[in-house]
Formats: sequence, C-alpha cells, structure tokens
Amino acid sequence: MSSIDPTEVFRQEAAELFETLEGALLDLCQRPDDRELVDSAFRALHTIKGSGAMFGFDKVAAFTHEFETAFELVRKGEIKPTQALISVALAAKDYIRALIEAPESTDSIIGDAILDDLKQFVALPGTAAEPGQSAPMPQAPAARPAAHAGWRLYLEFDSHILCNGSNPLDLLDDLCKLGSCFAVPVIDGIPMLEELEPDHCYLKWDVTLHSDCGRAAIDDVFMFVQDEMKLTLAPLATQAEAAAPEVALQIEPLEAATVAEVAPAVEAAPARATEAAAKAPAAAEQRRDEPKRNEGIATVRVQAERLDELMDRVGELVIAQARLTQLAAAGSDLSIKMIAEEIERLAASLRDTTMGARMVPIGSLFGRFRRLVHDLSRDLAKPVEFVTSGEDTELDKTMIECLADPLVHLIRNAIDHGIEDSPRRAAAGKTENGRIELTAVHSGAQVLVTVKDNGGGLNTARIRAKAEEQGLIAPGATLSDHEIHQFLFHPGFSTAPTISALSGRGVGMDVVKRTIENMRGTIDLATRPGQGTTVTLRLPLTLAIIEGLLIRVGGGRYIIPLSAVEECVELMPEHQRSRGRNFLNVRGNLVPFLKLRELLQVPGSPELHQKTIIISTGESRVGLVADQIIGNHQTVIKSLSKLHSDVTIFSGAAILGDGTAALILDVAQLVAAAQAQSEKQIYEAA
Amino acid sequence: MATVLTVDDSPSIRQMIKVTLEPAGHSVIEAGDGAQGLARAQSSRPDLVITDLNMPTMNGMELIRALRKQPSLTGLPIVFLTTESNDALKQEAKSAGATGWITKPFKPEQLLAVVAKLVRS
Repeated sequence: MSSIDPTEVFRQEAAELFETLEGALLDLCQRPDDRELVDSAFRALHTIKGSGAMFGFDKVAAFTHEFETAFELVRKGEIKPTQALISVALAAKDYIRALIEAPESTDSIIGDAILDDLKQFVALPGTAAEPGQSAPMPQAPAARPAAHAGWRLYLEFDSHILCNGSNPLDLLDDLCKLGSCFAVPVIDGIPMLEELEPDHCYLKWDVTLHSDCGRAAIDDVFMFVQDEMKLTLAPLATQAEAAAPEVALQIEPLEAATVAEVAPAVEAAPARATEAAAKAPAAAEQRRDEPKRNEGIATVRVQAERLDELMDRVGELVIAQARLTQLAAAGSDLSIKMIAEEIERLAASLRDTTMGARMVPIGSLFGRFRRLVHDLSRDLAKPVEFVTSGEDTELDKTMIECLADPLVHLIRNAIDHGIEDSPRRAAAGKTENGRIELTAVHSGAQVLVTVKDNGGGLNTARIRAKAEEQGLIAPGATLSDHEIHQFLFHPGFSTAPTISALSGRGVGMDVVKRTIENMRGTIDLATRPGQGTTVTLRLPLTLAIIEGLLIRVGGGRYIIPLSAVEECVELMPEHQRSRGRNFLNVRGNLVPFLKLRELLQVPGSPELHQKTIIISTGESRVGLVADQIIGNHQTVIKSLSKLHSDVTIFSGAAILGDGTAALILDVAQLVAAAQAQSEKQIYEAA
Repeated sequence: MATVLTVDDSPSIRQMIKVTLEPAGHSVIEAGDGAQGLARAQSSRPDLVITDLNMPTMNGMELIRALRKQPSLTGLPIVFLTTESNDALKQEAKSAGATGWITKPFKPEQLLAVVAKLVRS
C-alpha cells in the first residue's frame, strides 16, 4: 500500500493546486472584489505551505509563508488585488512551482526579487517567523530540575471533559509513566444519583508523583486539557515528605490498585448511558444537518498506465467475446447462446465504463490557456478577452494531452496574427478588446473544439501569392478560397513577413494538422475578411475502440468507422458499366463513388450484387463500393507495425471474432488517394 | 489497534498520516472534506478523528461541532491540524469540542505520540 512515494503524491497535488491558484489569480484580474476567489487562492497557498513543510520542501514552505502573509492582507481587505500585484503573485506562483519541481536548480535570488516586489504592495514583516515550529508533543525532558523528590498535584477537570474526548484516566496513566505515582480520587463533588449527569466528570484527583521529571513534562501530559482543568502543583520538598503521604488528604488514601479498579467503572458509564438516552434527538439532529451536507464526489487517483492496461484487457475481452458469439451462433445450443448474449451485454457495458473512466473534462486543459492569453496579450500590447465554454465536455485522457500543443499554437496564431493591434481595430470600427473564444461541444461520436477570434481574418490574396512563389500552385490556377487556405497546413508555409518569437516560422500549422490527424481527427479553417477566423478541430471521443462497419471486398475484410458512414445503398448494374468518373444518383443528389476492388487491387471480377456505402468526409460525400456488407463490429483498434507506417489509407487493424485480421480504412486518406490516382490517370490520358 | 479517520482536502497530508499510522498497526480511513468526514465518522465509528481546519464544503470547525452533536459519538477524540500557532483559532476549535491539536509541519513520531495519547487499546 505504501509503495506510492508520498512526495510524488504531494507533487501531483501541488500541480493541481497551482492550477487552482492561477485560475483564481487570473479571475481576480477581472473580478477583484470576489471574496470566493481570494479565499480559494488563499486556501491553495495554505495547503502548499503546510504540505510543503511536511514533505521536506522547507524553501517552499518559507517562501510560501511570506507569499501567504501578503495574501492574508488581501483576504482581510486591507489591500486591493491590483493588476500589478497579481502579476507579482503569478511570478511568485511560478517560482514556488520551480522550487517544487527542480529544487536544486532554482536560484533563491529570483525568490528574493519577487519578495522585494511583494513588499512594494504590502509591508511584510522584516523577517517572517519560521512557519509554525511549535509542536505540541512531549518534548525531550528539559534539563534536570533541581534535586527534589517529585510533585504533589491536585487535578480538577471541567465537567464536560469526557464529552470532548479526553479521558482523565489516560492522563493519570501518562503521569504514571513519569515515575511512581500515587493517585487518590476526591469524591466529594459527586452529586446524588438523580442529579448525576452520566457524561460529566465529577471526580478530582490528588496525586503524589515520585519522579525527577521537570515541570515541562507534567505540562506536556495535560497540554490538551490545560484550559479545561485546574492544576495545582507543588514540588515535594524532601525525601521524608515524599515518603509519608500527607495527613491532610481529604480522605484516607486507598491502595493505588483499588483506585484503578474503581475508576474504569466511573468512566464506562457516561458513554453508554448517553448513547441510549439521546437516540431520538439524534435522528432529528441528523435530518436537520442533511441539507447542509454536500455530497462530494469521492475520487480515487489511479495511474494513467493502469487505465491503459485496463482498456487493453477490455479490448481483448471484447475480441474473445466476439469469438464466443460467433461460435454460439454457429451451434444450436440455446443455453450457450444465452450466455454469449449476456457476456456480450456485459462486455459492452464494461467497455463503456472503462472508456468513461478515461474521460477527462477538457476544462483542465482550457485553464492552462488563460495564462497563455494573459501573457501574450501583455507582451503584444493587444488587449484580449478570453472566453471559454464547454469545459465539461469529456475527452479521452490521452487525447487531452495530445491536444495541448496544437491548441497553444492555434491560440498564439490567433493573438499574434488574427487579432489586430489597437489602432487598426479602432480604424476598422471594432471594439478595443480582441476576443478569443475557445469552445468544446459534443457532436455525435465526435467532439468539436473551436478556436475563434474576431480579428482581421485570413488574407487570401497573400496566401495565394505565397503559394505561387513557393511553386505550390501554377499562377492563374482556379482555386476556391477554401482550397487556398489549405496551403496554411503545408510544411514550411508562412506569410508572416517577419519572424517573431511567437510565430512566423512556418513550423506549426502542418504539425498541428498532423497531430490532429494522428488522433483520427480533422482540422478545418473558416474565415471572414475583417471579422475573424474560426479553426475547428473534430476529434473522435476515444482512440481505443470504435464502432465499425465490417465489409468484404473479394476475400479480404475491412472496417469503415461507423461515424463516417451515412447510408448504404445497392449499386445498380447500370452504374457498374460506366467508365471514367463514377456517379451515383442518391435521391436526386449526385454522389461520386470509388470501387474498392480497383483501389485495393483485388483480382477477379466484381460480384453480382455490389453495395455502396455512402460516407461523409468533411464537406463532401463519397460512395465506396464493396462486395458485401457484413454488419456492425465493435472494433478494438490495433495500430499497424512501423513497417506499414507509410500505408496511409489504413488507420489500423482489428482482430475479428474468428481470429483473422481486418484492416481499418482511413476514409479521408482513401478518398484523397483515389483523387490523386484519378487525376494522374486524366493527366496521363491527356 | 485504533481506527483513525483523517479528514483533509490535501491528499498528501492524508497519505502522510496513512503511511505514518499504518505501519504502527492502526487502520486509517480518509475523507476529503468535513461533510464526507461526518458521514464516514457515522458509518465507520473511528477511534480518533484527525481533521484539517481549512477545507472546502464543510470546514474543520463545522465538522467538530457537527460531530459533537452526535450523541452516538460522545467522547470521540478529535484532533485538528493547524499551520499557525494561532491561539485564537486553537481556542475556537477547543470550545467547539476538539480534544487536541497538532501543529503542521509535524514529524511522524509526534503524530504517533498524539494517537497513543488519545487512544488506548
């Protein structure tokens, strides 16, 4: 159980706290009067400080303490969280983070500089006290006290002490550990039975302690209760005095052993009695408390690899289940069929649950960009408003990680190139603040993530000129605007006249496109001159399992992602004979179709009843002609080996119920390949 | 040995308490805030509660008051964790019904000593 390194747990937690802290600080920029934000920032700091000290990050604790002291003033409303203060606070946050992540390589000079900055806003005490060093635990016995034989104590506890969880007998036990101890209960405070409150402590004790311990050791014993008791204590002066018990005791001392026997009985009574006595009020109490109690979502931290492993296993299970189903369907044993059906249902729900466990709300990613926008807009002196929506949209964890870099790039582009600087915005009659919207929404089996700016939009003419200059298109070629914009995704393509630190190197958009396509997603650009640009990423919900349509072409079986399939129609014989480009009339719309037999170079003549699967790729619809449609198939995607990495028309493979493999068609690539092929044919024919 | 309920919004503190107390033979159950802590205390009947004061949803002070209102949990020792040696805060927690406190940062021995002090087997 304790195999997890506690320091690692702390680091993970700190990383989350930093996000909270940063979020709160950035929100404070906009809503400086929001108490909730100040409190949440303060709580994050507080925890970082406390936990940091516990795990040996002393520098973190010391620095955070100063930071916290400054923030305390904000919390008390003594100073306002101004923009400048928040900038310093953000820098301080980055410094603490560095202290935790790389304690050795972090220079404390930076920390001192930040503290100096902080002091401009708040009068920090010159040297802040070490964060809470005083621990209330029994310290090592202090220096040997002057020679005396021991102590004489008189203990009188407040009556409610039992209710608060302290047990006088335990305290007496602790006293006994200091030396030989002689305790006599004083019973004159005990009332008559009818007045006796069972959970009150009426006993007092007179204790003679033969020990050479110091006063501090005795104080330690009673440290938690010192405010709830009267402790009278005097040193026993001489050996003689200590040896002879005082005559002035209020009752005759009993044997110490007898005291110990009597006392537990007194102690045992209160708890039991109250328990029964107050059942009814308890129920009422609970009901009253209920609405206040917030049902927090209990969470368990699981390492990501374990989830991946689980997903793998579920994948194997789904494959095994498919084989079982096939076997059961072939036989005639009804009970096997029932079991197979049941297992199919269970496997499907297990798969959904497992996929759900891998889902992470995209909000965790969005949070990171607020800082990016804040910093960029400051560096470029372009005031930008950053709006996010759909933070709750969930995506596979691995995809969230892969999405971070592309989105950083898109947002940078939007601020650097998209949003105009203030004079130009004013000239165009726009609001002074630029606006960037980052949204995520579910759309069927896909998630759409859009980055939208209200800047100047793409300069189509310039892109075209650049493309011609680089020899990507022939001068004068007729291209739609949409086609021209696609050149932005071409490797090494940049229209930025100068290279800034942020963008203009022409490395990026092609990488973004490749990253997105590796996730089986697509990227699309839409722009309106003078009004802005919208980049839309379409992403599948998960990378591991898809619903597929299993088809047969010749002897081979292939899978088309079901999310791409629109409908299936029969291919009429008259279409089969047509030459050149093939079109199909689907309810009045002409849809081009591709013969998979030809594309995949399957030998032999087509079978009699060919089927067409209409798929949609982006904005166009294409038909794929196959020999047979076998049906829906739960597809666990296995990636192809490195050897096949240049085969673009297949995105992976899947193992079928009978143990054979089927290739998964990458629809977009397939259509692109077919287009390239037919263009080549036309070119050669001409 | 004792069953200890740790109530803290910081998983690392809970972890720390767990790795300190479990080898000593105690069993540790966890809760992430006061509300959860109250529910777990009612369901699991721990021998000791160690709670943070600063928590979302229901803070430590509210938790202590709520626990003390539970007749079935009378006499349950409650220890609170505090970073400041802030006497006013300590007083408030004590009068809310806390039994003792531990000042963060604490060493494992200190934690074990507090548990040994308040829980007898």
